[in-house]
Amino acid sequence: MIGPLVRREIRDAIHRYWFVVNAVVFASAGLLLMLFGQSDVMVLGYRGFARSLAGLMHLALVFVPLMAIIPAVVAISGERETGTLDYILAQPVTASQVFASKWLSACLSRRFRHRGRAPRVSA
Amino acid sequence: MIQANQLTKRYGKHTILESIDLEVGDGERVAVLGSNGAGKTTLLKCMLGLVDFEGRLTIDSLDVKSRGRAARQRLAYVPQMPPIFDLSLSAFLDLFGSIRDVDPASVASRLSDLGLALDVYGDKPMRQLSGGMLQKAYLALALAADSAVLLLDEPTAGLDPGSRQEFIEHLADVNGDRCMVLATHRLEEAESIAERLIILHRGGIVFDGPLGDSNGTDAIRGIGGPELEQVVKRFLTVADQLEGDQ
Repeated sequence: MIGPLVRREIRDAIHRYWFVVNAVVFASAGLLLMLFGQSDVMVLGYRGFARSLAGLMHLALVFVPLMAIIPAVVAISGERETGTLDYILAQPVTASQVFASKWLSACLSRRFRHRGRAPRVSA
Repeated sequence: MIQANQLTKRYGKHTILESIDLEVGDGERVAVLGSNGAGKTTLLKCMLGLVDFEGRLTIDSLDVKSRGRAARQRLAYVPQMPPIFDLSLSAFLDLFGSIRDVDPASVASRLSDLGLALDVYGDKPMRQLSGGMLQKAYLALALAADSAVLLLDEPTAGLDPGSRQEFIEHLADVNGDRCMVLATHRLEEAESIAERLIILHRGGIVFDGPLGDSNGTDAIRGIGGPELEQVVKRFLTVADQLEGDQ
């Protein structure tokens, strides 16, 4: 019973492009950090690498949780606000199946994004 | 088919339903009437297991709390405001048809009966469909599902009078073996579809009887006011008078 839900979630995740947006913002922020971080040192190349790496690590500490939290919040609270979650839960499925389908699709959508369509998932 | 014992629902300090005892038999058609906030939608949500509640509620002897999924297999639901999925009409029907294991041809046929051709509207995104079309799609799914109970939460809210009449006629033609619970605040809808009337007021059942009962519908019909709050008050007054006369 979880198969159709997972397919729908993957299709939604592909259309939302949260991962791409996050990746672009993360890459841009990383580049800016490296550029401005090293301008103060006045040294380019490997000697400024440790400073850039430390900056990137701090950026990752902020960004990676956000990349997980934002799609998760959109997947649950967005559906709750529009009433679609209630309708799904009114079907013969359990809440854990619905949440599992969201989690599974979040993982699978990264893998299948390049295919541009939802994969077949057996229930 | 549906049995509620001491069903109580509270949101914080507010009691929405209080100690509701209710029994709906197989194939029975029940209209639940009540003003806004009377608890009609909450009662249906309890049946669907969408909200926690106190007391016991069973669907076809299946406890909604412990065997919710099996209980929901017996229920088909048409919501008050049809939620809009980010899908085309066909994809929406496929998704929920496959969850319920419904034959797609059966859904298409029901939809066609309701005046919505799938080959014309199937590729349209749901957000481009009117409220009436969405209601018809949800109703077609509910009718095509092989469920013993049909739960309808003010299904004609937001429809124009013509569409409403058409919608009600389709509901009246539904196979008589299916149990139906219609939440509404329109007495004329209840009369067209149901054979039994339950009036909810301030979280309790103030009337439960056949639609032809002179203590119930005639009193309400005689008033015919648009606000059920007034209708219920008037109905209670008439009931008190009748009791006093006896």
